[in-house]
Amino acid sequence: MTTIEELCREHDLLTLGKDNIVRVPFLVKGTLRVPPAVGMERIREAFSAKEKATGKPAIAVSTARLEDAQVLREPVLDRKTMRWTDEFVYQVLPALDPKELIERDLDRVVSELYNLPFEEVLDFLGKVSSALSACPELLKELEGLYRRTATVADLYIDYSFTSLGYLLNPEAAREKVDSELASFEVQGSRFLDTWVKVSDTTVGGLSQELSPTKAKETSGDYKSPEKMYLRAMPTRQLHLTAGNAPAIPIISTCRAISLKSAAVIKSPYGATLGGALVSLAACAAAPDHPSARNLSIVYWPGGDERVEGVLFGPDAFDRIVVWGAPDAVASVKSRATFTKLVTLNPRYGMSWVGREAFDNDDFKEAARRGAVDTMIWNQKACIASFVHYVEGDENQVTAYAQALQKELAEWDRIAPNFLDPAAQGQIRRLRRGKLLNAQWMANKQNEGDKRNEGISSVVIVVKGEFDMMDHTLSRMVIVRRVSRLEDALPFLNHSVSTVGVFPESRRMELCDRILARGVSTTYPLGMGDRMSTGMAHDGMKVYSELVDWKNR
Amino acid sequence: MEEDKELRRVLEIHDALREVTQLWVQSEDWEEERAQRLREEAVLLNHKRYFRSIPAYRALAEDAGIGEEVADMEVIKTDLMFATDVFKSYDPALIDNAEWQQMTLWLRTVLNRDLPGDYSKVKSLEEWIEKLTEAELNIMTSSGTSGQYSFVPRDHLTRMALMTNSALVFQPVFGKVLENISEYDAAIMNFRGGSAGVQAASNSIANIVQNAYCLYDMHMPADAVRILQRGPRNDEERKFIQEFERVMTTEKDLRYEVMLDHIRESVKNGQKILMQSACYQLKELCTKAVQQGSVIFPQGSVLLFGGGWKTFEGEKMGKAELLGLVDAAFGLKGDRVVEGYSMIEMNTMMTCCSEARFHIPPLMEPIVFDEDLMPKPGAGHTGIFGFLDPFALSYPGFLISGDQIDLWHGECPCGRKGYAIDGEIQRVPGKEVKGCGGIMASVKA
Repeated sequence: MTTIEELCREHDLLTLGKDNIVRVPFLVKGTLRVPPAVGMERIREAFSAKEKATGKPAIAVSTARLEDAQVLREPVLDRKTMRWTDEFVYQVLPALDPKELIERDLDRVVSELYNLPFEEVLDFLGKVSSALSACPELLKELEGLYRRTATVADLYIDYSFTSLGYLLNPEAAREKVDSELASFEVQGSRFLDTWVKVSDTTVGGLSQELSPTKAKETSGDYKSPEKMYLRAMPTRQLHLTAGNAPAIPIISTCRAISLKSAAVIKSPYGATLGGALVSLAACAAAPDHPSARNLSIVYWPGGDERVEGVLFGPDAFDRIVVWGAPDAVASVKSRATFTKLVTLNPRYGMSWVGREAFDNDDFKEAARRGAVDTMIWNQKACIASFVHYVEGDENQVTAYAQALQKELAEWDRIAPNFLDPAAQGQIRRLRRGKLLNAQWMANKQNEGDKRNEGISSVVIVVKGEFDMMDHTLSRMVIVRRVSRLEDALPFLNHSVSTVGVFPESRRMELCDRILARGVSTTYPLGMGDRMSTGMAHDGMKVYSELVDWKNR
Repeated sequence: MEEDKELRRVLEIHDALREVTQLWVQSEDWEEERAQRLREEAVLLNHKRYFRSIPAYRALAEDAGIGEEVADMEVIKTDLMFATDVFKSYDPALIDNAEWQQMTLWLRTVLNRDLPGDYSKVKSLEEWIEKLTEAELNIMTSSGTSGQYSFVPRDHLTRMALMTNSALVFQPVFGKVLENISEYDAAIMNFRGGSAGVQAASNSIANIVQNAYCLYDMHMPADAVRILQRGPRNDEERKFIQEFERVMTTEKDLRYEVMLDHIRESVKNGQKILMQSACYQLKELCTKAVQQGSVIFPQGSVLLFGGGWKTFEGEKMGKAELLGLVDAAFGLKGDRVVEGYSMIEMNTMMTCCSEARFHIPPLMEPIVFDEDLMPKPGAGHTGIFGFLDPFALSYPGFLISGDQIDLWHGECPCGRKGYAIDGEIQRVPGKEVKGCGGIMASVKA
């Protein structure tokens, strides 16, 4: 068996080469697709032509297309100051022909993949997971490479690549399929593998009753026509993943493989390395396995009509899964009118702190827990907490906000934040504009360094409504005082993913009222990113949405 | 005494800037460096005035460690510019709960003078604005898609500056504006009354012309967008929503028909027509007119339009296509069709030339900001539009907008020289659409 390292060496992949160029492969239906050799001169020409054509500055032009390749340009971050440098890393990826990603031979897919025993799918996941675990040095190197451009703090990067094996863990996949597709007390994987009898009797239809001529038995009739069978038929899936948390493309890949999907996973800008690693692992561990032969992991710039016009067309896929920003979701919705969409919408979390927090000094612990929920994937995850409603008087709320500021300062210390220029600008705009009269509690970074000084995290106690369009999504917490926690109920809707409540007694009291207003999850404050098998995602059993339930 | 002296000097500079602008509007040679020096002098004097009299400005300056004496314009540009949202830095619940005394206290933070009197018995936004008008303060409002209003307070001098400066910019179109506009009939594609920015211009036009026809024959209450956004809370508000829906939806086609009838009547009487419209309503009216057969406006008629497409982005058509439609509908083209750009926080207008540039009159100093809201020197940049407005006497006039522009500087083939906004103006990503067309709720927390 080949190893991932061997494939990397053979094709000169995933190492930082001359001129900061990194070659990143695709997986196209089980075949490793490597990019052509592209020198810096061609790359410079392509970007300079695009900058000229669009009138945008270099920092705003992040992709360029060559005849035989695509190039991603990512600014290098100075990890000490957490500010962009003038340097870039260039990822060279293969060119993409969208037509070859679409699977039209459904008979082949049915016999080769849909009817493959689930155990063999788990075996494949196990091999991929083992292949990833078997190259710790490469993973370390890739961490270093990712660190050059990643806007997420080092602390999170430390867990990004080492968690890949866990995310593709076959036992976890089995539990998810068995629980999410379970029905009639039958484990989910059985529905995925075969037809399951769900009823001994059926009620005849009205037309049968009304037929003016009498039924006559024929030689081809089934002896027990009254039985009903159900199956979770796999589907052809296109996953458009988001880069706000690096695990997302891997979660999508695991879902597609587990559900025996003939799938295409689109890696996001800024998080292509994870997908490339899984591609290499699949080719190294089991290149001829049906799960590999029906899997593609690729990249194209979101919105590229040349690609999306083909992939969003009628009957190209059975499901399109969209993770992402509101405009991305809306754009796909408007174009993929013939395909069933599973949208994992941009949402945000809240923290609710009851007055019990001020009975002792518990508000400090509440602030610590609130900070934990705020910092889920550096506040980029849709379950991270953005707004904290605190039940108390003005002094109490100020005390909570100050405690929260201290907690965030501690996070800033162990995980220095990158706040992009637009977010810095937004903070300045709010401070000199709409939130002029709010109470600002800011933690700074690079103090004394005039060029790089800025805000690292901020708690803002706001009187009145806050427009979520103004949020920077980067260590900004809006604190609002409420006389009763119930006063925050009107601010709940389907945009709110999760609500963490302190103390637990109040969560139990308010749970149903919170969830009835569109929220997907409530949890004890401080446990916002807990996971368990079978838990709902955005109000859905996602695995169940990704199969076609069929009757026989 | 010192303050009076400073104000007198600022007013002298205003006159001098208008003299320069008089040459500018006629595309005659004007002294750009002199205008620059005048603006800078006025800005530095206004800094002193703001520092002493506008609490929010003083707090901003003190927070940045800056005192009353500033000699460097860069300090103003880097540390002392507000976002235009400063005019909505109040708690919106104050309006919902009719706490007008508190709102008045807030207004004082962005205003250069005290507002004595009891506002606690005021019942509505309309009444509050009226009471402030009695206190010789003009309030111009604008609501974005969020339904949260900006309130820009103008004293008499600032309001007069806005009117005089706008008239000056439109001089090439109308000549001596105030006298000449009175000869027109006006087709105003807006509401009959209200305090929103564009509406204020409509009201002024309607007061001067021979006959004024409004597309929506109803008064737009100051708090209309807020009511629509949060839903009605009493019978009066329910009644307003019903009327609004009737006018905007049920009677939509009828309204355009009635407007076209008025226009035909003016044409029949040989009356020159001054039409004022936003893009979407203009497209709708022109489309209907073309369907029914063109109505050719008498010579000397003028169309003033602008404001972009707001929440009607889906209906957007290219400018050339829109102008073609206007020509087909009303026979208006060339310098008879004027696209304007302004905002309620600004005390002048800009008009678009044949080279698709909005020329910035020498009356104010444009600045482009990076996305991190730091100023970029000079022109030739794309970025966020900010400006130093020497004519803002009663409120801080050093402002950063939510619009993204390409700032150009040079001699334009149209005949004008100086600064201009080149091409299309867009909202900064993530900033709500502004204007009274924006009736689309965003998420509140």
